Amino acid sequence: MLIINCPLCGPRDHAEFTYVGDATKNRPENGDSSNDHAWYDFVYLRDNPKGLHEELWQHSFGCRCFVKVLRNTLTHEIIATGMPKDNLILKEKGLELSV
Amino acid sequence: MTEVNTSKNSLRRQSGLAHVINYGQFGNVTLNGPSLFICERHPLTILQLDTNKSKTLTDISNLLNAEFPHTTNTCKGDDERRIIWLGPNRWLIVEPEHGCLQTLIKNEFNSSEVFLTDLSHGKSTVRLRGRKARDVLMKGSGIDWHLNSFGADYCAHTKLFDLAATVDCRDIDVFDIYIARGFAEDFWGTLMDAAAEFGYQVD
Amino acid sequence: MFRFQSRQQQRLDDGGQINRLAPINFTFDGKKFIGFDGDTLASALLANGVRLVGRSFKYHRPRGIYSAGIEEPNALVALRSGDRHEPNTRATAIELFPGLEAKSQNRWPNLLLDYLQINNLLSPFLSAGFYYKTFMGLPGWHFYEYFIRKAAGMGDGTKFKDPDKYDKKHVHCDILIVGGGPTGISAAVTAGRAGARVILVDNHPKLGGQLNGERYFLDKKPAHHWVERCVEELDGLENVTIATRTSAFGYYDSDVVNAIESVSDHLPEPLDYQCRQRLWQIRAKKVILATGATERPIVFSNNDRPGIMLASAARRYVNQYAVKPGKKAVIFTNNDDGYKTAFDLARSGVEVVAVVDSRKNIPEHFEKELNEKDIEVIASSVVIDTYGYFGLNSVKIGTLSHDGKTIESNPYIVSADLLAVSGGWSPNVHLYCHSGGEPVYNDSIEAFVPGELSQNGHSAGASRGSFSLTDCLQEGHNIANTMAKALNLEVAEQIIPETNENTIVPIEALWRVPGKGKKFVDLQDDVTESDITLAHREGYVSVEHLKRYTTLGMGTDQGKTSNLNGQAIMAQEKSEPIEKIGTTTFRPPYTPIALGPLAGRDIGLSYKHTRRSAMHNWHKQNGAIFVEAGQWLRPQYYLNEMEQPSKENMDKAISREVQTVRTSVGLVDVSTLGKIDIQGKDSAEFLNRVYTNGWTKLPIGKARYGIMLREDGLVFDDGTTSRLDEFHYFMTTTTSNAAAVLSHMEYYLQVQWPELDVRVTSVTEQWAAMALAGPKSRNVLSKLLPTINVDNESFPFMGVREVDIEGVPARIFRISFSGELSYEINVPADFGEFIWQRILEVGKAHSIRPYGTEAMGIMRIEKGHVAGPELDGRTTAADLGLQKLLSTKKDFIGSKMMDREGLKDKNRPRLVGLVPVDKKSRVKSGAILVKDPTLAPPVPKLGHVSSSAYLSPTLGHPISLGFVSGDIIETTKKIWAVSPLHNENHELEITDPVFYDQKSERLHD
Ligand SMILES: [Zn+2]
Repeated sequence: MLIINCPLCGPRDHAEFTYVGDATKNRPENGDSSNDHAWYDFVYLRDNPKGLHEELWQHSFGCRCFVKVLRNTLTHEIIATGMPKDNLILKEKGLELSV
Repeated sequence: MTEVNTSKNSLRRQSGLAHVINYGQFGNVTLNGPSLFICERHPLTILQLDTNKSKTLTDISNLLNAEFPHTTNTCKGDDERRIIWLGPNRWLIVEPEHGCLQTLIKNEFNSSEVFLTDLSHGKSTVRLRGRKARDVLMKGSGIDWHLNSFGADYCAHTKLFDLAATVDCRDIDVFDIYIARGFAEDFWGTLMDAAAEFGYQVD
Repeated sequence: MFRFQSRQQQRLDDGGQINRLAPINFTFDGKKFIGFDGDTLASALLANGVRLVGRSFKYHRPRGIYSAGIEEPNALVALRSGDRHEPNTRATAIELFPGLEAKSQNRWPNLLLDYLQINNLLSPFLSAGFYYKTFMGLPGWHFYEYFIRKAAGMGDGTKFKDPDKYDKKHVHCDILIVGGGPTGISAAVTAGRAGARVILVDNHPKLGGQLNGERYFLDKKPAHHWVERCVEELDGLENVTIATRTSAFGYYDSDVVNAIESVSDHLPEPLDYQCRQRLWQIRAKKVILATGATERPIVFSNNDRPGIMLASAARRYVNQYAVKPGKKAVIFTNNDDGYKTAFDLARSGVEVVAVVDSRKNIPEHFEKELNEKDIEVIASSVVIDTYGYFGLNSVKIGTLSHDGKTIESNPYIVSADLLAVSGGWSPNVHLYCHSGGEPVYNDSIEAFVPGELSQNGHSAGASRGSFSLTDCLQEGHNIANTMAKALNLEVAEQIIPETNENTIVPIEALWRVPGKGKKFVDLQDDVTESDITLAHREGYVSVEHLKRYTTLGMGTDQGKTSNLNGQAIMAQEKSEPIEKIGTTTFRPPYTPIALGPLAGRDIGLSYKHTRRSAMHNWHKQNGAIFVEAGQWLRPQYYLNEMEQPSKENMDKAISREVQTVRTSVGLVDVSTLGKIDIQGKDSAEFLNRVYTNGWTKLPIGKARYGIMLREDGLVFDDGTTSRLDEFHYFMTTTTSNAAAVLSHMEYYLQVQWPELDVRVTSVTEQWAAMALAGPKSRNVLSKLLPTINVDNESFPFMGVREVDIEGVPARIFRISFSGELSYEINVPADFGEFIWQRILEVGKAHSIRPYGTEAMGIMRIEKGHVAGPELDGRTTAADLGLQKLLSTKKDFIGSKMMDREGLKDKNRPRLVGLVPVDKKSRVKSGAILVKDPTLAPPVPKLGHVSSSAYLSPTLGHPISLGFVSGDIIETTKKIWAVSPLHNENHELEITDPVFYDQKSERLHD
């Protein structure tokens, strides 16, 4: 069991959420063949990092919002959550610096 | 869209629980009587309202003479009409079916300012009341149902007995539960099973 | 009362925490016995002088009761009978209830005469890995396996359905305390006084833990006075919940601890409306692990006989249950525990022959009491061997050499029927390990203790290696106070009571005693010292290999009494310190749990929730045979009143339904289709991006068919979307993808294109939907809508109308799945059944008939429409013959990736029609298409059958849709469908996928 803190609804069981995928991938513009690799990367390439990882989940049984989750893949600890536009890794590092 | 003419049709609105509900006392009812009272609320008008324009919302608020909750997981309203926070810029207005709520708003506001979706028939509503109501909810969902965390005028959109549900705390021990109509029969069965140990009365 | 007493020959006349006024009848192996309320099955058996309770797992050696708690490796019995029969329950953890029925296990035909004890005689051959080394790889393994499994095994399960209910409960708290012994109680009092929301769980019927099994005094009064006072105070605190008979079995991520409450296991059967067990999912901010410690044995020859038990168990039997576990006792110890045991046994009238202490120095403070009670202590000595086949009768004692490897001087034998053994205590670090922690070795107590903190679960008391009672009480209080502080609560005071315990003299490690006989390390799995030395010789030296090679610790007790001894022996063999060897990882569950409470009420039909349409009840009462479509129940076909369910009647019904639609008019429930309400001024732009075709020019009042791709360019879903108003659209999806399509759209709106002004809402449940299909459907519709012109010009193909049917608002879409003139009628769900019935009434003049998914499926195959089996996530639009729907004038989801070489390959399998050459074979969907079924493998796959209509009433023979490689379609007209699983081969003719009305005149009519 993981408890994910939905930025809107508060802490909820992960069973209320649907895992969407890696949140670090940006969707490229369609463009011409020059960005073929960017598309290949966006659609197929996924890292499997040991440690911090930004993931996207949908609170599908709750407010239906997409939620960004910063999770430690080693310990399953959820360090931070935010809205899709938030950069949690940066935020987390900023926090560490300020402490 | 043509709105339902209530006087003519309310008799024919058939709830998703029409063939399921048995009235009376069931389960472990002791000499003290049932610890739970369960009933269906039907027919209701359930309207989803979506707008990100605060001016529009204020105007609607004035039109309906009702306040909209802006805090997440809360509701506002009275015995008659409830307004439930659903998500960002989204609310659910619930009231017993009588007027033409949708037409009322539609006539006043531009369709690009406010988005209305009628969900009156899409949801089944069950009211759970009594001192054991929270114990039943605890069986079905991992939310903290403690009075200090979930008091009157709180609401939650959660997974209740594995179904997507909205729970509106009307009063300390009164809860309105909204679930998808298609699951109503199943939900009712599960609820009765979960309530049996406390003894319950279906009104 | 005296009568009962006389049968319980080992029961003390007074003392203990049993109710002598409440005798309880029970049976063991069919023999009748009497115990008392407060007994466990084990204590009641011991009270009645029963020592032999089972046979061991592998060697079928006679075994008795070894412990007094959940760690029991030996006394596993089958409980109850019939549908409540439960194997492998621990006699030491079963509360006695009236009529309890228990049977010994793993013996045949009975306990005294067990033919399978031949395994014991064969034991020189049955070393670790024996079965696998000997039988695996031989051609007859399957033959041997049956007998091997029969000879080595546990109890049998029941084949009946479990008659009991199981419940679940989700709870939250500030501080969860696991374990209601002195540490846990002390913590609960402090946390409770501080005002924290506290849950205290304990797996026993009452709190007290080790205090219940010892003769401790707190503030000069027996310890139970303090326990009772604390419980009374805690009961009075609204913020504290005490859950007894509740066993925390797993510590999961996010500080979630799961526990199982035995609600009625201690009763003959559950009361009305009572569940048997209840799963507690506890979400805690902080957790105090006060789980205590478990005593471990010492490994010596024949250390498994009935009559040999843990020293603390012997104390618990005399102290808590007032049962003498034997008449003449020898105590074998390497720590102070042995002396406590000797005193308690002696006080209860058990003759203590000797305390055999492997240490050189006897703790001085015991001398006075030893003299008073006239107990002999034999220092620097060990128990070398034991005797007595069905129960201990004597013990061989000798002096240990300095290096511990040999026995010095002449060993001698003393008679005894009880041997109480203490090899020291191991903290119960299981839950700490579940939480992600790694235990570390502590030399001063010779055991693993919790290391660094992983989550918010702090160990306290014996579970972190603090074995003195004062320390336990103090640590419980301290940790609760620290947590209260962290939770911003007022810190509470508690005066820790004064104890009567002696200072503890350190343990001196003794893991094994030299000797020749069988020396058991793991009693439950019959793992011996020689298995471990063998593992060492064969190179299985890491603890994880040791475990798997010898099965050490793999029984239902998870090696609670054996792991450390096994690991220590391996360390000695390797001449390495134990901390270097390490310990295996503990995983949930801490104790064996039943599956019932995990399933809760999600069993049978409730396994997954069932979804019903608004017309469900009508279908049920009118002969519908239902089929599951995802969670939905849908009518598959309708039987007449006279028809019984049968294969022929099914075929008859389906043909009847298809013919009715093709020749007249039918009505089908399509409420299950996903429906999504789309509003906002960017809706058209959004649809343009989501669908492959163009949407900007769709006029109000019109519907359009579209397909969606995934980002990788493959087809995701299809459906029609209608424009209801300038900024208002209504989308339908396939039944199975309804939720996925909604999430898909929400993802793009929230994450990728938040600038678009679009709102999407599922309205699947709001609308009951039915398709009125057939050449006569217009006649029926015009009767339903007398004031509206529904002719072809006023209401053309793909037209959408919002109308009023007898006062009910309705949306009517002129779209067709069957290939006939057809109208999809949507009404608010509460009016679904009413309108359904009205249509059938009005349609009577045209012999209207409801039809099910089977007829619907046949007609769509006849018409060559693709559905779920074709949209299987591997097909492109071109594969489906839908390439004309791919707009070249715009970008849409998937447009970038769909043009990749592999997806444009002309030879990709594409949609075809398939007809059996014999015009009657029923080809299974999923069958593989090959050139020739007689070819020797590997046979190239040319395609597969995706959907099959076993009968097409319209065409008079079976038809299928499938995919065949492009180059084959060009060159071949015939192909074979093979289904090796069913041993079926059928020759098929490749045809156009549209079998019926290829020009689509009927639906435009
Ligand atoms: Zn949420």
